[in-house]
Amino acid sequence: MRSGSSRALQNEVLQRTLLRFSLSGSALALVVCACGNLSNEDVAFLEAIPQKQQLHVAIPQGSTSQNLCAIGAADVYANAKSTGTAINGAVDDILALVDAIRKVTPTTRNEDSRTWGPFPDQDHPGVWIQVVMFRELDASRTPWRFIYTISAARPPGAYLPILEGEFFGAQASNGIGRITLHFENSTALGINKPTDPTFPARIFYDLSGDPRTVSLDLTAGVNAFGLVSFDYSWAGYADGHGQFDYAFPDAKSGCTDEVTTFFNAQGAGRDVFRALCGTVIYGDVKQCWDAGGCLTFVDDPFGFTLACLGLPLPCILGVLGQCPAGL
Amino acid sequence: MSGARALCAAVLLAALPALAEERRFALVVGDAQGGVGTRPLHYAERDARRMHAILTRLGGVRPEDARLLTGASADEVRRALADLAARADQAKARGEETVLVVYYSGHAKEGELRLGDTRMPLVELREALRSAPADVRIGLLDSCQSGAITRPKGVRTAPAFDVQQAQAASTRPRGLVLIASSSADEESQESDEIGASFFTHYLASGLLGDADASGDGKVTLAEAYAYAYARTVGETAETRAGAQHPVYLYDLGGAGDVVLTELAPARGAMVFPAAAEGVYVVLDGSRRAVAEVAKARGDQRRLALAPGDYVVKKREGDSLLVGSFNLSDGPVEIADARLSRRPLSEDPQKGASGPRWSLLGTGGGQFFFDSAARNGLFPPAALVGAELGVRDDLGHDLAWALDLSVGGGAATLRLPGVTPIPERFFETTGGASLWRDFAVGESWTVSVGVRVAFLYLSRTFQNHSELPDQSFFTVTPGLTTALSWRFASRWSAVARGRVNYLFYNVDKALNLGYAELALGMDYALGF
Repeated sequence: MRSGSSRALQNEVLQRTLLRFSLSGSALALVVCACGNLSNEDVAFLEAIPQKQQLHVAIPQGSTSQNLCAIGAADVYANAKSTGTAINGAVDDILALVDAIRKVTPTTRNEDSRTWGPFPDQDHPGVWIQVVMFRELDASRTPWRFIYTISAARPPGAYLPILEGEFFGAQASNGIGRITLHFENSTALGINKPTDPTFPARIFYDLSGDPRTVSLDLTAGVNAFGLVSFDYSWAGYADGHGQFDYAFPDAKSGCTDEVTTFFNAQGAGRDVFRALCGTVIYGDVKQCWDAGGCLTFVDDPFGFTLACLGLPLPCILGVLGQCPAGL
Repeated sequence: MSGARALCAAVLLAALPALAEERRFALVVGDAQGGVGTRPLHYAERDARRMHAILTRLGGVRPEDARLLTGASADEVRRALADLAARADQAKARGEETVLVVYYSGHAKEGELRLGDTRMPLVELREALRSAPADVRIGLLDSCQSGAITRPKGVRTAPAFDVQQAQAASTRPRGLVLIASSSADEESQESDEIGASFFTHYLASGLLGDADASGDGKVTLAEAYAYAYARTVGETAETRAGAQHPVYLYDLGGAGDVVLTELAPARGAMVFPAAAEGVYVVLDGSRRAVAEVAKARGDQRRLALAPGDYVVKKREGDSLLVGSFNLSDGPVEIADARLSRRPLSEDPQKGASGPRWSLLGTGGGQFFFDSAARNGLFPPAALVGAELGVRDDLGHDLAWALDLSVGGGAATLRLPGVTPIPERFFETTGGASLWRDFAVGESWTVSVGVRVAFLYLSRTFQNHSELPDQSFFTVTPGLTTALSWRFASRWSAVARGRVNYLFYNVDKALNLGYAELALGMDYALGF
C-alpha cells in the first residue's frame, strides 16, 4: 500500500509550520526595519532543488485498442505504465517534502547557506524541525554542489536527518543529484505514519545529458510506496525513446517479474524479463509489442506470457522482424 | 460709552433703516492667479472667503443672495454680476431697498482685473456697478493699482468719508461707492505674518467690530474705510514696498451712511473692556489671523466673531500675552488678566501664513546606480504618480507634499550557471517631502528639499512556478529637486529629480542609491 496520503499530510504540516512562523516573523520585521524576501541568492538556492516533474518517469502511453490484438495484449508493458505511475507518486511524495521550504522565507541567510527553522512540529508536540542547505562554489563562483538536509529532533535528543539531498550543478533542471528519505529515523522519532516503510529510500537522477535518468532504490526493504523491493531505473532520450527497468508481482504465477523494457516515442517496444519464483529464477522471456500495446513477438521458454497458455514450450509467437527497430 | 456717544448712536439707529428691511446682494471674487507675467497670490482666495463669511453673517446678505467665485473667469464674473443685478432689480420692483456689494481680491494690472488668463477692464466693472439697478452699489477692490477704478471722479486719499456733509437730509443713501486697496500707481501687499492682504485684513477686522468707532454696534462704510485706511497705511509704512494708500470714489446721495455690518444680532462676541489697551490679534483654530483690535484705553470694543475656538495674542515689550477662548452664544471678555505671558519664540501665529494646495501628476522612471543591484533585484522601473502639495504652509516659500507612485516593468535575472529567468516586477512608492521654492523670474521656480519615502517592490518569475513571489519593503530618505514653469494661471510644467538612499539587507547588507526622474503637470487647486 502506498503511503502517499500520509506523506502528503506530513509535508503539508511541515509547510504550514514553516509558513506560520515565517509570516509572524515578517509582520514583526515590517514594523521595525527594511524587510522582505527579495533575494537573488534565494533564487539561486531554489533553482538547485529538483522539481517533481523533472524526476518523473515518462512511459509512452501508446494506443488502448488492445481488443484487436492478434497475439495478445502486452500485459508486461501495461505493468510498466502502472509501475511508472507508482514511481512518480513516490517521487512526488519525497519531492513534496523538499518543496516544503520553497514558499517559506529562510530564517538565516549566510553567504553559502540557508537555514529554515528550527520550528516546532505542529502535529508532533515536542518535535522540532530544521532545514539546512549548503552551497559550494567552483573557482568561477558558479555553484557546483548543494547539500540539503531536513532534520528532526525530540529534545534533548540530537537532530536526525529525515531527508538528505545532494544536488550537483547550479540548476536542477540540468543537474545531477541524489535524495535519501530516512524512514528509519522518522520511525525512531515517532513521527512516521503506520504505512511508511522503515528503511531508507533513495532517488538518483542525472538530467545533465541525453538520456536523462532517474532511479528509485527500494532495495533496503520490502513494500514501499506500493512497489516491490527493486532498484527501479528509467532513462529517457530527447527523441522520446527510452529504457525502463522495473519489477512487479505477477499475480498469475505468484513470482516477481524483473523487467528491462525498451520503448520508442510512439509506445512500441520490447522487453526482457526474468521471473523470480522463490529461490528459482526463470529467464529470459522476450516480448515485442506495437504502439497499440499488442504483442508482435513472443519468445517465452517457460510460458509466463498469457498468450502462451496451453501452447507447447518453448512458446514462440509472431515474427522477430516485427519488433521495433533500433531498440 | 459716553452719554453723548450713546445719544448719537441712538439717533443714528433711528435714522437708519434696519438691515433686515433691505435686500442685499454680494458678489465676492477671489483669484490667486493673474495669468502670464504675474506670480500667484498667496491669500487672495482666502481673503475672498473671509469677506464672504462676514457679509453673509454680519452684513445682512442672505446666503442665497451671495455669490462666492474663486478661480473664475471674467465671463463667469460678468454673468454672476448680471444675475445679481437682475435679482436686485426684481427686489427693487417689489419696493425693497437694495444694496449690491462687489468684492474682488486678486491681480490687477494695466487697468484690468486679471482673472486667471482672462481680463476684465476696471472701467467695465465700474460702469457695471454704476448702471446696476441697486439703490446702493459698493465696489471693494483689493488688488494692485486698483485705485485706477476711481480715476474718472478723482482720487481722494482722505482717511474717511465726510458723511454728514455729503448727504441730503431726508432720504436713504443712494449711489455708488468704490473703495480700492491701493492707489493707481501702488502695489497692494500681502503679509505672511497675518496670512492675508493688508487691506482686506484690516477691512475685515473693522467689519467685525474694531471699526465701530461710534460704539453703536454697527460698522458703517465710513467707519470701515477710515479704519482700513489708517491701519493699512500704518502697517505698510515700514514694508519694503512702502506705504499702501487705499482710495475711494464716493458718489452717494441721500441721508445717513451705509451700514455694512451689524454686530449686535450675531452669536458670540469678544468684548475688549475699557481697560484693555494695545493691539490684539485674534487667531482661528489654524492659527491664522482673523481679526485685529487696535484699542486705546477708555472705551469698550466688541468683535462679532463666529462661534468657535480662538487664540488672542498681544505683544507687550519683549514678550507676548496669549490666551485661548471658546466663543459660543454669549460674549467673552478679553482682559489682559486672562492672558498668559510667553516669550516671543512661542508666538502661536508663527508659520501660519496660509497654505496653497496643488496637485501634481507625474510620469517617469527610477534606476539604481549599482549595476549589480539592477540585475533583477531592483531593475529600472517606469513610474506614474501623483503628489498633493501644500505651499507656504510652514512658512513663506516652504512647502510639503505627500506623494504616491506605482509602476514596474520586466527584467531578466541572470545567475551563474542558471538559465536566465524572466521576471515581472511591481513597485509602489510614496513619501512625504519638504522643500523650499526659489523664484527665478516670474514664471520659473526651482525647488530643493528632502523626502522620506517608503518603497514596496514585488516580483514574480514567469514560467517558473517553483519560485515564490518575492517582495521588499523599506523606508528611504532622500533629496528632491524640481524645476517648474508656470505657463497658465493654474498650470505648471514640472521636471523633478530625486536621489534616495536605500538600505538592502536580505542577501547581505548593501547601501544603495537610486534616482527618480519625472516630468509632470501641476495644477493649483486654489485653496
